[in-house]
Order: sequence, then structure tokens, then C-alpha cells
Amino acid sequence: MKQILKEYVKIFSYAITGIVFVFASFYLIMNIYHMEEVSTTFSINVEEDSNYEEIKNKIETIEKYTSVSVNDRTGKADKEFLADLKSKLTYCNTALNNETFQELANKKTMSIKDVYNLKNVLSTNVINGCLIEQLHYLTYYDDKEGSSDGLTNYSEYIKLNIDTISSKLNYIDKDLLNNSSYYYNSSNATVSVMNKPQDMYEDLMTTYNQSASLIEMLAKWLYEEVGVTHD
Amino acid sequence: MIKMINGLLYGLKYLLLIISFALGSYIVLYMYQRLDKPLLDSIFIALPFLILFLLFAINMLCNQKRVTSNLFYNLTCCLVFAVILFIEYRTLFDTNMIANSKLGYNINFNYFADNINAIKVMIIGLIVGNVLFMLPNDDKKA
Repeated sequence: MKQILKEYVKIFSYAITGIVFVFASFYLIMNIYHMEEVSTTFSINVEEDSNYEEIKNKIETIEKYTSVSVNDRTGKADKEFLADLKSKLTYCNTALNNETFQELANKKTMSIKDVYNLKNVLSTNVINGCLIEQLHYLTYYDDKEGSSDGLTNYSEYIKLNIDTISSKLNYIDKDLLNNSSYYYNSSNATVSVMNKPQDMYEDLMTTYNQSASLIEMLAKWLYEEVGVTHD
Repeated sequence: MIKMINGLLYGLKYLLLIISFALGSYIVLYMYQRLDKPLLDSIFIALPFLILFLLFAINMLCNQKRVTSNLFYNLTCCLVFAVILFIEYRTLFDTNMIANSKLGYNINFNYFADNINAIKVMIIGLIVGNVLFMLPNDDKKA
């Protein structure tokens, strides 16, 4: 009896160690695979990206629109109001045409980290730096003297655009965190987590384009208000 | 040859245990500090490591050949600590996981928290295995 017990103890001790060995091996392989999946990149070609081309064209258009001289205005808008808006739009155009956006032209592949950096630039430079800090005042500008010549009638539209862009970015921001947790690798997880960076990139470029459109719309108003006289 | 490999693994398991425990403690203490949780609660994560360390010390001091000369057990120990170190390495340095930079601590607590239970399970497995190997069995070396 004692002998059988000893045998059982021996078998059990090797069985436990064996289970731990198998589990540790499995866990190591799964983690290596997870690391590989997290570092997956996807290829991009900005020449075929309609959003990129549109943003680039809008940046050029805004530059043209904001190069007018407010001194020779033809509309009814107040000179100070126009000068202020012009400087704000010029700042916004610089924010749009940032280094990260320019670098996209040379990029062939994107990793999730690149997508995260692009999101940060869009969030810091364009949304916070331009739309919130520079242009949000148009959504509550009290134009009793009519100095904006009707621009502030668009305030609800501008507000709606800023809100939509901000909430879209918040969604992408939360989605980006999904790859930071460990999960059992399945094709479902791969599709819903690892293939997301490409979707997020598309979403970011659409949001970028939407921001550029809003700035372009305001720049066009400025251009039409001032006339076509250049500095 | 086997004796030499066993000797190497025997030494390595102590070294890996100390490194993995030190790194793990750093991450856990940082995590608890960030969450404003009482640091004393983290003892439940450290406890399996401490028990295993105590058992290793007993194995060494009492010269328990059934455990110290067990190649399979030593190999499993090294593998488990290598897995733990790999998890800790990714927690600290895998910047492809966005939480690493997003949370502002350069440590991915989300990933580490997901793996704590697996780490505990593996360490407890080693403890149980160690205790069972310590019991007398038919091994002639004992």
C-alpha cells in the first residue's frame, strides 16, 4: 500500500510539473504570436488616397484664400474682425500642414504606433489648437453690430462640425487602446483588433479632411468678403 | 552532460526567479501606487513568489536531491520564469501596445493585469510540484 502511494506521489508530481511545462510553453508561444500581431503593419499609398489629395488641395486653397489683404475689403465686415479671422485661419492652415501630415507622402507602411501619432497630431494641432482654440469663438460670437457680415449665422453649423469631429476622434482614441490587452488569439480577435489600425487610419484621414473642409469654408468666406486683392 | 545541463538550469532558475520577482514587484507597486490602492494588498501577488523562494531555499539548504537534481523540474522552472520575464519585458518595452505611451507611465498596466492570473497559476503549479517532489518516493537518489 505504501509502495503504491509512493508511486502515485511520483506520478502526480511529474504530472503537475508536466502540466505547468505545457501551459508555460503554450503561453510563451501565444505571447510571441500576440507580439507579432500587435506589430503588424499595413501598406499605404497616399497617391491613391482621395482623402490625402483632397486635404492637400484644401491646404493650398486655404493658403490662397488667406493671402488676401483685409485693408481692401469690399464686403460689410469689420476690418478688425477680418484681420483676426485671417490670422486664425493662417494658424489653422499651418496646423493642418504639419510635419506628420507631410511625412505621409513618403510613407509606404503604417503601424498602429504611426496611426496613434497621426491621431495625436490631429487631436493636438488641428482639433484643440485650431478648431477649439482659434475657431470655436465663432459658435458664440455676439455680432450685435453686424461686424461679421452674416458669418456668425453659420455658428450652429460650425458648432455641429466641431462636435462631430471631436466625438469621432474620441471614438478612435478609445478604439486604439484595444490592442493593449492580452487576449486569446482567434481569427475573430484578429479581425476586430488587429485589422482595426487600417480602418482607424481611414477614419482619421476622413476626420482630417472634414476639419480641412470647415477651415476652407471659413477661408472662402474671408476671400469673398475681402475680394481678390492680394498682399 | 545531463549533470552539467542540470547544474546550469539549477543556477539559472534562482537567477531568473530573483530578476522576474524584482521586475514584477516594480510593475505591481507602480500599478498599485497609480490606482491609489493600499500597497499591502499587492502581497497576494508576491506571496506565491515568496513561497517558491522559500521552498528553493529549503531544497538547497537541506540538499534535497529529489528536487535539485530533477532536470525536468529545473527546466520547467526556467521556462516559467522566462515566460514571466517575457511578459514583464512586453509590459515595459512593447511600445506597439498603445497603452504603454497613452497612459503616460511607459508601463502597460492593462497587459500586465491580464497576465497576473496566468503567472500565479504557473508559480502555484511549481510550488505544488516542488512539495510533491519533496515527499519520499521510489527514487533511488533520495
